[in-house]
Amino acid sequence: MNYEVYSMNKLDETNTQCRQISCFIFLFTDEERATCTKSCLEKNKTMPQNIIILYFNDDDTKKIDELFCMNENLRIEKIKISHQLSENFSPYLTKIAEKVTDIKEVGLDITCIPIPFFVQIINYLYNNDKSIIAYYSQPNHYRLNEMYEYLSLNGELKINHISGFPGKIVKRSESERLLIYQIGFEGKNIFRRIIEDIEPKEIIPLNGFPAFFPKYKDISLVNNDKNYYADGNDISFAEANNPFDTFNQLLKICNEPKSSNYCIDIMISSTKPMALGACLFALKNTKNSVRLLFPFPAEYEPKQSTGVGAIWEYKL
Amino acid sequence: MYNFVNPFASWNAMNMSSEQVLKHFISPYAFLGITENEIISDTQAIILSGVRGCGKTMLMKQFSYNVRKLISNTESYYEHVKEDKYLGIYFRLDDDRLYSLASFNLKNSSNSEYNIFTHIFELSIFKEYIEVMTIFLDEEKNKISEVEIVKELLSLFSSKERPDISNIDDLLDFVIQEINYVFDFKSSKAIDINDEIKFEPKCGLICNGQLINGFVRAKILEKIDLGETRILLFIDSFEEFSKEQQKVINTMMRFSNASSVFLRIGMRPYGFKTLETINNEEVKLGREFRPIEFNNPLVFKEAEYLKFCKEIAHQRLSSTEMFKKHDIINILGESESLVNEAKKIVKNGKRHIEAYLKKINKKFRIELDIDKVSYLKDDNPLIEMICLRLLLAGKSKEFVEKALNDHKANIKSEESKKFANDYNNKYKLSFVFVLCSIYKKEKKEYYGFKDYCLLSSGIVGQFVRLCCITFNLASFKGREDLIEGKISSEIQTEAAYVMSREEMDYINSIPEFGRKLSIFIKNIGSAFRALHSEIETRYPETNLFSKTTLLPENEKLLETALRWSLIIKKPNSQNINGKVEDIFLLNRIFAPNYKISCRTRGGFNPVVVDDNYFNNDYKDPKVFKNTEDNYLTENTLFNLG
Repeated sequence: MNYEVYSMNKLDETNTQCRQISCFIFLFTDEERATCTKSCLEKNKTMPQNIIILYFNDDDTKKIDELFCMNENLRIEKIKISHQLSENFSPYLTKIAEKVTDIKEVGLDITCIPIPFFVQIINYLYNNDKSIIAYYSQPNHYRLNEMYEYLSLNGELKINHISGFPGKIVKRSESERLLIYQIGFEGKNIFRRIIEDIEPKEIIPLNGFPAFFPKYKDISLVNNDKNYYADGNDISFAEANNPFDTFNQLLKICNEPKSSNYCIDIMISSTKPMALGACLFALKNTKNSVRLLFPFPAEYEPKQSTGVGAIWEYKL
Repeated sequence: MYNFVNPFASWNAMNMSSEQVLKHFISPYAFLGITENEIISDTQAIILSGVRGCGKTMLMKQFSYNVRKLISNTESYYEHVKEDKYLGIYFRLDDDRLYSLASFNLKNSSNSEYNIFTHIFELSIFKEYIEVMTIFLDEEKNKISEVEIVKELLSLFSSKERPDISNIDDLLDFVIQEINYVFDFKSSKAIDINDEIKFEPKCGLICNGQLINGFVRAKILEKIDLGETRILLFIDSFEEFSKEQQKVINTMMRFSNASSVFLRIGMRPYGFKTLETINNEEVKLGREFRPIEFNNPLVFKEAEYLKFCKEIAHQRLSSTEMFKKHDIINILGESESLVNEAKKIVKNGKRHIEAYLKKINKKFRIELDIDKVSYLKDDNPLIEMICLRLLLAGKSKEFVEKALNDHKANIKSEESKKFANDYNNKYKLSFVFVLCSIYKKEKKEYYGFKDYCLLSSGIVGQFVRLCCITFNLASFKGREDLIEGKISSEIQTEAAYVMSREEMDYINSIPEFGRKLSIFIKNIGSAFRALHSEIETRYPETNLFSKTTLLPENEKLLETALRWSLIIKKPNSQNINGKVEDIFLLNRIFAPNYKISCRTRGGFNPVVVDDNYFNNDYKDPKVFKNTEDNYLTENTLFNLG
């Protein structure tokens, strides 16, 4: 197994040494943090000429034009994407692929891009030998009702793999599955659906710690409505803002002797950096034999945070 | 040392290992219209249909070779099969896999959707055949030639695609690799922007029956002296299969008589999406398959069901060090004590008397006060309630006083007979709900083994899960009692509420119409609750409903609610106003959420579901009538939803 040294930098007022990229991809929303990386890149004079802007609503195009002040030097491609997370992303991916064909270094701001979409973009870029820089702007807080209730995945849920990560279906003997469950705020129904739909033999919860905010670690546990310890589960932890820590934890779990008997599933329902870590792990360490699962909702409510915390740059 | 292991921790058969299935399986044949022997020997396909958690998976899994081989402690599994004369194979693809295959469309028109599913299905069952043959080879090295078996198995592939393999391990690896190839292909296609990658499995595209039936046709079992062995293929969660996937299985069902591979299919009610085969013929009940329903045991065999739950609990408790000497009835208590509960609610208060007097005074335009009814004062608030209800029903003071006194003195009279009947058979439990409402008590208590069985609605998975939550809570909040083998009524009640709330939350996320179902259940639950809270107790403990003719989309929702066991259909219809109607009950696990009874009483069912019940926040005027006159709809303590 080849090991690499990864790097992550905090981009702030005093240290905005962003890496050079040739194309910048981000999703525009009304969230304050949606354009933080853009500002950082501009401040650092590393904003490339090629920019791909994803957006959800037609109303956003005008705001996007205003944001870039109709700068004629920039080659901006606006791609409208769907709110429906289960929708086939291939048409959008094709459009992105056309724009990055001759580009080597791509910067991808995952801050507002829904997890299933950015995971597919990374899959494409990685398999087409692009050098990828990912960015993530932490929120200051999430919108939580009554201290802990959080709903961005509304209504009916269907747990399915993210396109491109179907994993391996069988091994020898009984096809038993180990599910590594990145626990997040929305666990209430997800856990039950995991048991009924995926039927893993064993579940290892992976919680974000240190979290973006101290109480978030506990809210994840409370919202999962499940006493893991009582059922004999050990909880693993990975830093909520560090995809490489998630990567290492997954590696550690999968390298344990008992894991070799299992097919591995990873349920992504935590922070985006942790989802990024799972995606990297699936791509780099397992020859794509890991299944990446996501709870696809009937409705996705994207604006769930307030303010801006730290901004991170990850060299993948 | 406190070494707590929850005996009810594994409550879902789907993720139980073979060892756990073997350990936890309790025979359910007392409730089924079929015997174990018939499941083994029937030449027709058998459709086992039942709601979520009724025990289908457990039953099917325990027939599988993975479990049966564990039973054969003293003899080899080979000998065991020889004696049993069947080989069980359990098959289930998880929802994601089925969905993933259903959306697998190849551009080549000959490779339509079901071809790919057939390919995976055939390979998956063939893999199981190989695994079984591996066991036989290990056990009977001297009798069975590996080279011969592998040669026979390989002959099932077309000569062009036959791999050069001579041992069974390599063959198994080859098949696994070919199964995984399908998903590798899917993975590659996700980023194949230019559509360059083609589906080219090394083993070729497997056609209908090529491996599954081919194995039988090649008489491989005969060659190892197991010629009389039948292959039973247990296919679980059939309702999750797409229409095209079901056609593949239906086709197999149509021709299973000829193949000696006999299908045993598990599904939820209304699980068939189609009865068609891939040739557009139809499979017919009685000719191609025999339907067996897991009827809800609680609805028609309550005592048997309680016995069954007790047996399950005993088996689980006895498998742990901490609880092996304890009995579930000792731990939970046999049943609730309504008198104690009523006393706890009232705490010597008088509000229930005042509430009734207010009603009586209004109804009869009189001015009774508490002093004037002092003769009915009793330690037991439920006795007081009976008396007050008799007064409200128009009985005289003298009648009530005599009824009470005769009842206390055990004197037989018309009055005491009426009193005893009302108290023991009709209103005792109902009055506890009314008291909860009057005293704004947040929780009606649900505890005791019997209540737990009733709350589980005859769905054994629910009973085990309820016990699981209770034991977990007790390990935190009532550890000392738990060590002694007791769980308090408060903890049991809390567990019932936790599970009830979880189940309510869960409805919303059900992939089929979750949000609409959630609205429907809330409307039904609210209607029942309003009836439970009525001071006149017009319809005590109502949790049954009938329905009018519904719009097709709402009929579909009702079917979905049945499939997900949110509601349960009673086996017998009921004559309502001269019309024979189906009767449904709300899954009793929702009872704590709506503070309604987890028992079911017969009699008139005032809730008749029409299309309005599927609309947000609907209030049935037949149930919520006389709002001004209804003390409890004005003063209800429970918040909706």
